[in-house]
Amino acid sequence: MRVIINESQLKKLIVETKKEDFNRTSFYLDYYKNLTPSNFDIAKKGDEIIITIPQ
Amino acid sequence: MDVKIYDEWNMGWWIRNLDIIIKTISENRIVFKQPQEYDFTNNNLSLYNEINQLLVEYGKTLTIYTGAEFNKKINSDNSNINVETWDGIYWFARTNQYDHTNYDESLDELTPPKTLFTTLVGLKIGRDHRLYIMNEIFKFNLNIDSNFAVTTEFTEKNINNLTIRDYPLVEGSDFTPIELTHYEPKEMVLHSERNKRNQTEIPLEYSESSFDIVFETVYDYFFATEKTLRPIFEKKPFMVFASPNFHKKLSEKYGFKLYDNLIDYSFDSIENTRERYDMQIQQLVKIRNKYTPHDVFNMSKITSEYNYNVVMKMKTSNVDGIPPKYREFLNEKLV
Repeated sequence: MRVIINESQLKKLIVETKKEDFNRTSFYLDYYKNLTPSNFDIAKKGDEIIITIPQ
Repeated sequence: MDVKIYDEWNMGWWIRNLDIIIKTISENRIVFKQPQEYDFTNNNLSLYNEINQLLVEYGKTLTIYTGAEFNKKINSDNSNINVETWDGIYWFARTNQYDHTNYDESLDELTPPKTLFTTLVGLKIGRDHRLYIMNEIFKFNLNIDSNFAVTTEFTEKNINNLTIRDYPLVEGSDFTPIELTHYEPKEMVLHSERNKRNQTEIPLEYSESSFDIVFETVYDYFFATEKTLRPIFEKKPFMVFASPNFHKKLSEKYGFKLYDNLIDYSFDSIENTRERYDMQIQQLVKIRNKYTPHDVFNMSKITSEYNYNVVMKMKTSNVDGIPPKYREFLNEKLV
């Protein structure tokens, strides 16, 4: 099957693909790792980031 | 048609005087030329509608030359208003904004810097986004061992209700409060500035730093000013906190090379302001963690030299990007 798309559809597709490249949760996982002491546990659970402070 | 041309670098002046200008001058065509500034209403469409009604009432037209990109609806919605971009980056490159720098002297003998980051920033009322950036910088201790020259208009009395806008705007949540969790606005004076602080001279410590963190004026539309050109003229790598795709435009539209070996520019296309700025801060954290000032100097000097040649060509070439119809307004500003 051949699918033909025009230039504006292609541009839109490229933009949407680029947007999907940014994984917000993964980015902020690293963000909080850089922000907290190394013995803090930072974990990603779905869309949530959980910071566990050591006892 | 008679034309009255205004050349006033003072945003407050425009706002205070526009009404009386429209009502009182005899000329039919009013021209504001301000390639050194962004749109003077900050793209306020309802304010433009009011101005247009007044212009129609008094049979006048208004042309605004602005250095920034702007909301095209201003022109399509208002019959007597025409906003045009007079490319600010060429204006800043071509005019005498850098009197403090002697371009006849060779900068080839740059000394490897001792300090990593530098910034020269004014914290001004209405530029709240700069406080968001400063707070993130301090949150990640990027200020430590850096050369920061900071002036501030903020005091305990006027620092309320700081906000930043996330683009693209989401209805009902266009202004987000800024919480200063790690930063309190204060003057930061470098040693060399103690006896002669001013806004035009570049402090000695700037030259002794490897990397310029640039706080641009606006963050919605593309607008590059002397703040962005400063590190290019001074042969220094830089990152600009500005609008989306800012670095892409510097590269694709103006021919500057990016510092790909130091910076992952994937942040550049992120439209949400805070997310883009957060990503930029993490790039600075990475540079701080991985490289010494000397490393950054060595990794960037070929690109910096290239960019210097680009901006010098921009400054001296006859192909200056300024459309011929604007030349009537250039007066003595070109060098």
